[in-house]
Amino acid sequence: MKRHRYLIGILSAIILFFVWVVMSLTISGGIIPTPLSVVRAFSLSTFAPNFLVSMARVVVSLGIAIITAVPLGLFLGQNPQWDKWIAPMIFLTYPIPKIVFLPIFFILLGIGNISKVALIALVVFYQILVTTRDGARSVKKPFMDALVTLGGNTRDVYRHVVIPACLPAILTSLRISIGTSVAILFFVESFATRNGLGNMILDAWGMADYPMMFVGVIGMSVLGIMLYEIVEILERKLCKWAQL
Amino acid sequence: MIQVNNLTFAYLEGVEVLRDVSFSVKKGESCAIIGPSGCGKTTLLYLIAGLLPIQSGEIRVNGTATTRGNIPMILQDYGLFPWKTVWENVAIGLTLKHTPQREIRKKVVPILEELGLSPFTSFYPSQLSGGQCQRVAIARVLAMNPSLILMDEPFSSLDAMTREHLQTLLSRIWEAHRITFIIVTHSIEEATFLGKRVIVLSERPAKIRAVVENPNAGDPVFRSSRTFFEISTKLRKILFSTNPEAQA
Ligand SMILES: Nc1ncnc2c1ncn2[C@@H]1O[C@H](COP(=O)(O)OP(=O)(O)OP(=O)(O)O)[C@@H](O)[C@H]1O
Ligand SMILES: [Mg+2]
Repeated sequence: MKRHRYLIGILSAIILFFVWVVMSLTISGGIIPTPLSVVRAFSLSTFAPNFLVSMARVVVSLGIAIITAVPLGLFLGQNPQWDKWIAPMIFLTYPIPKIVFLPIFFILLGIGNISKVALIALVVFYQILVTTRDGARSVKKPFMDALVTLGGNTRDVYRHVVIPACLPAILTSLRISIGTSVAILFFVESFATRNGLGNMILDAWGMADYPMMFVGVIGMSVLGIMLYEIVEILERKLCKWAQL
Repeated sequence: MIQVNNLTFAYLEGVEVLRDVSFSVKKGESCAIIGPSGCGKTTLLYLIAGLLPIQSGEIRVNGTATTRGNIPMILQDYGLFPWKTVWENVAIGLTLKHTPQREIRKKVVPILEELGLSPFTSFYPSQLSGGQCQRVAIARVLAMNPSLILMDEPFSSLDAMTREHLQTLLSRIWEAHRITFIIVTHSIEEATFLGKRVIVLSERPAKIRAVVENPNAGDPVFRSSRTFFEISTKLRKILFSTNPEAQA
């Protein structure tokens, strides 16, 4: 089963590589550089710092979003009397594209890392909050009753019933959030910064240095895949029961 | 052991589910409650377990009022936690009491052994058959070393053979541990086999229609005896009579 998964992974990578090679050879103007020219353009001393800065921004943002949205979502899902007041606010603000607040964040929080991290965290916060709350809402009452008859208190109910029951939903929302956060990362790194993969891509673009631009693009992809894989591992470790 | 006095309960104002229910169960005795679907059997057990607030009347267990979290209960559905293994499910009551791991092991191992669950300790409920699941549910309450157990139709989703098997197992456990238990069922035969005292409830709002004494319950050979059929027939008559007063 596991071997199977890896084989398919490797096969997909080979196919994608082929598509890339074919496109680089057929699309004229060097807009799609060949793999070889990208390897030549790669230099660890410029790539590594940019990659690490971007990774730090995303990881910190995701961390902040998780530690705020998960507890709040669990609480609201379990306490309809509070959710009644909060739900309309979420409903009204959820569809607003949060990236339009970047200028305001720049003014309020400065143009440094804080406003960048805050914007990514805000977007992801909503995704995790809504999924977690809906998950916590749908935990079956008899599970909680069973725990209470076995001597559990409210804290035990969260620990042994609500959290484990919601964990698959939380991890799913986290997986979606990774894609979102990398996209927002590119956006926030295109303003007022001299580092990060987004900046690297835009710089190279400005100079029509397409191989360099691709180094950045691949860097962003690697960042996303890495984080995604971490969530996969967590899911396999923590939610074995849901995958049977 | 347990004394229910003039219990009346309504979920919504004016819509009574239980009306003036009184009965008692002696220590170490088994009591079966039977009645039409939707009459209020689960509600009655929830009240005894302290999961619902008492509105009128009283429930005394060993002379004191019931409090939630003291009486383990096997629920009608959703009994086991799907995210916990068999071992974790059985140990949960002890875990909640912060029992040391060594103590937990000492208590859980023999119970799993007794119920034939030893090979499945690391299985999740979704990997077990219905009968195995119910055995885990029984093991989970036994691990708490209770003096009273409540059961809400524990075997209703099982096939006839497994069901009979578990009924026999339950009567053996009851014999060995001398636990008082109250079992809700909609099977007349199950009530007859397991309840030393069988309480028949009426349609909603549930009132006590009859209390049938059944001293031979639990004996493995009782099932094929004459009295078994007589008691079953009597219960059936009471359940399906249109004029309950005449029977009671
Ligand atoms: N939370 C609730 N709110 C309002 N009414 C309820 C609630 N739970 C149960 N009832 C009603 O109370 C009545 C008794 O329900 P209960 O679950 O106790 O019946 P039961 O005898 O256990 O039925 P069954 O044999 O089908 O399990 C039913 O008519 C049901 O509609
Ligand atoms: Mg019921």
